Amino acid sequence: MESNVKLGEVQLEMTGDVKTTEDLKVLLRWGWGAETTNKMSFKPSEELKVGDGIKVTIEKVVVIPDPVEEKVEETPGEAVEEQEAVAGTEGTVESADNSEPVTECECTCTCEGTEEVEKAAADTENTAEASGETKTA
Amino acid sequence: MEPVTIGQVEANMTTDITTDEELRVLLRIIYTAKCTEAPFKPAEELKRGDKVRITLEKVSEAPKDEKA
Repeated sequence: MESNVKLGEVQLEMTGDVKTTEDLKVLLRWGWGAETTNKMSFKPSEELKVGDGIKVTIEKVVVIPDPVEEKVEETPGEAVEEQEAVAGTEGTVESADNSEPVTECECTCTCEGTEEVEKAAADTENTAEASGETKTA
Repeated sequence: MEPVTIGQVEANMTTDITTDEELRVLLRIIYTAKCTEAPFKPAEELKRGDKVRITLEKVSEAPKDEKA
């Protein structure tokens, strides 16, 4: 995307004729006559005659990088990073599969098992007490 | 008359110019000047490598010779 900043506008008068087939050079001079730009020339679209008034507009062309293009440029890199990150996570998951699940499994099994065993023991005691009570009663 | 664009050129600056320095516009065919020099001070600083665009418009025609 381009943005133009107007630097100046001048009006000048032709002191000679120019045909459409001739290369008209445009000079931006500074001080005693030093040229400040690369060569600029063009063939005028219309013939110019002595006395014609010419308006010259000078602009600075500023190129603004398109944010969308920047994102597009960044995306592949990010995607790679993301993939790497995912791969890293997967690695962790895999390592977790190897190690943690066993612990988790043992833990849950043990806990659940203990609870169940305890419940079962309590039930048996209750029934025993109940039966004892019945016996005593 | 309505302004008619007669040409547009672009070039890169080969030197730095500050806003207090005066630039002059000149039109030439080979080494022959074809217009009066017109000075101006740029509204912004220019750096070497900056791209400038110059648009030329014909805004008035020379008065026609009444004798002819």
